[in-house]
Amino acid sequence: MTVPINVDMRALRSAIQDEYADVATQPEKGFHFHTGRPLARLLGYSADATDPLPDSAIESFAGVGNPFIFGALRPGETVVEVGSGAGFDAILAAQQVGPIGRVIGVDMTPAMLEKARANAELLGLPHVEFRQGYIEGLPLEDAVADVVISNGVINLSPDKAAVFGEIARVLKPGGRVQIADIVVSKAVPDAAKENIDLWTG
Amino acid sequence: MQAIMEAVGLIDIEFNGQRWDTFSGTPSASSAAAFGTQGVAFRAWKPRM
Repeated sequence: MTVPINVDMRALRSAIQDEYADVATQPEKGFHFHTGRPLARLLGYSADATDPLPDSAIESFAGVGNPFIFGALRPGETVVEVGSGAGFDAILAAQQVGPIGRVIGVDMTPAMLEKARANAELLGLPHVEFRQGYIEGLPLEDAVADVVISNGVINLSPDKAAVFGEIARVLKPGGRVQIADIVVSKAVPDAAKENIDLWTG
Repeated sequence: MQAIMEAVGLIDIEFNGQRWDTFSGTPSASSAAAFGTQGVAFRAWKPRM
């Protein structure tokens, strides 16, 4: 894999997994980003969609935007979420596409996957599944998705070309992405890009 | 990000124009805020065959 930024990929993934394991298991801890229901309100998620959710399905939400701002997904669509965390966006997607649709979330952090699977079972959503994998090498066949969603995860990869290459690969022809992520308004020095502590903080 | 999406063949890239500040006022200090980090949302399409 080509990693354009000079960073230790294994160490970076380990640091990210440690951080997000805490988000999964100790969501009340307090992080350098907002989480949970207050964050969902800040990002404009519909109260009709989020209020009925149990705390376990929303408390570890740590997105940076709202991929559904372009409109709800259509019934029957197949959705892939790149970096699905504890399953908040995947669950909303599953409710939108309904039981004739399908949602596949991919995440690398075991604690997040465990929580996401428990949430899907709790909510009775058998058409959503969560797979362990890296976003630079999605564990999915080609041309499976009508829609790829993601929320605040792609920025955590130093190899964004690989991530978007994978997204394009798993999309069906005519498929679309609806992604929320971050942009910076000030230049980030190369030394900062190579500092793993700054990737997670 | 837009150049990378275009390089992999995605088209009709559309940013919705809204920006979210999700790093200010957080419980822990954030380096993200120092770089003017904001959340955005965008949509793009894979061409039909």
